[in-house]
Amino acid sequence: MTGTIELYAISMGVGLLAGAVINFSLGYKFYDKGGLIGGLLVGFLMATL
Amino acid sequence: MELFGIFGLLVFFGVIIASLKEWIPQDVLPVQSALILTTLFLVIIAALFGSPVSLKELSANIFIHPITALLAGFLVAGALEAAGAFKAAMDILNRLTKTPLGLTGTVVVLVNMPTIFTMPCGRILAAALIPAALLFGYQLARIRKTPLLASIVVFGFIVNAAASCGPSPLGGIGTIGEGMGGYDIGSFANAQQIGIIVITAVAMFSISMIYRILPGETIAAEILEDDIKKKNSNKEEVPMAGYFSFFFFLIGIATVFITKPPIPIQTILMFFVLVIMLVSRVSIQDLIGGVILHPIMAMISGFIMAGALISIGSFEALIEILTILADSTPLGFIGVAVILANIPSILPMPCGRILAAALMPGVLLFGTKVSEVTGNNWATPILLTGFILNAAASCGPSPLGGIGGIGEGNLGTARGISGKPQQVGIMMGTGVAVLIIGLIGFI
Repeated sequence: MTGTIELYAISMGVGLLAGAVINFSLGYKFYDKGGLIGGLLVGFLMATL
Repeated sequence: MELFGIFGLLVFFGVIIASLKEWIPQDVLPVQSALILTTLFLVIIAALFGSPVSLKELSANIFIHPITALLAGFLVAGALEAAGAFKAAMDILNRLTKTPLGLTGTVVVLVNMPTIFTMPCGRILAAALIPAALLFGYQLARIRKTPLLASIVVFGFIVNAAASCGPSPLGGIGTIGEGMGGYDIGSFANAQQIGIIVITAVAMFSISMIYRILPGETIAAEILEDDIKKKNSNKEEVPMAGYFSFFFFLIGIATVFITKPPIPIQTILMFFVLVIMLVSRVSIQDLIGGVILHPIMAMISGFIMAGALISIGSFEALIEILTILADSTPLGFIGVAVILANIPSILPMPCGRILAAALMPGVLLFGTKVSEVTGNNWATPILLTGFILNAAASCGPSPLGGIGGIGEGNLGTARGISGKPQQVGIMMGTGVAVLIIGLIGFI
């Protein structure tokens, strides 16, 4: 169970950071909500699948 | 140190470097065939010098599990493609742009999609979803009037696709290391997936800030023209079976990972294929069409090469050389391990399985050695995970027909230009993946 929580936390945390980096790379503000939600979603899906 | 072992290593790396530099013309002798010939050459030399290598020794290193899992994975991919599951994925992405995710959020999901699906070879999704990457890349570039954005999206997607065969449970490169090291299937997968998110983001960032790879002139002009609407209007109808196959695969693979049933993955995959075939009326021909020979041949040639290197004592020689290097230079064991883990992207082959299969026994042995010297029991899985992720991603920047070529061709850029930013991303992602295993273990 601890492993599962860690997996989701790390995966979604890195996803969130990656979303911010991609936002910035695409010329948007790093905190643009689309990229951040996208990153969280990616992290969640990767942890789940 | 066995001199013949060192000779074998020199010949092996010589062939790899000569192929990479195209001193061995790849249209005449692809690297896979060159490695089979090298094996034959080493076997003949060994026989001439009185230490013959038997066929049994050569074939003992051919691991059947990743090969059959890879074949089963290709059949699943063929069934998904024929059922329209990838078209359904594109349609779902299009719908996502109308949600709070917007265009940027959808791009974040799109570029990471290959690693969410984790097909056994990155080329499957690279080919299936490149139209979506181009469409969204063009759209962003038009909105912001910056053609560079198309390159950022396309190459982010490409490096993600390239690396996605590492964590794949469908016979991905990870399964070779997990099998050889005696770890559970999927042990290295999550750390690799998180590493790949980093690889993708860093590669996109470095294209944006440092490498600034612009699409070819005609493509750039086309991007800025108003023809995106035309492309959008040519949307194909996605069959219901496509959506069914898409969700069936996603839910099925998630269930397998959560419940970990005591059934071989090949059997489960064949069940997936049967269900998709029945629902979507996919033919046997469609399934066979999904099989890509390139990675299968790459893996087999790598395994055979490894068999030859083991037989002539090359791995013992490699371990001794690495140990001397670790003892006599400031690198130490950790520094040498870092170099070893990054060798695949330093020498990027058209398929990561070539170096992964050929060098995995050596990496496993050196991991054990590092474990003994440092007293860290996790040294072996740490090194294996780093090496596997690095090898998996290395087909992206390969100038010898790597996956990067798909993006370069579509954007009309110079050949091999996307290699460097991808390598930067791979280096960072490898570090993050091993950090996760080192700090938390298998998650």
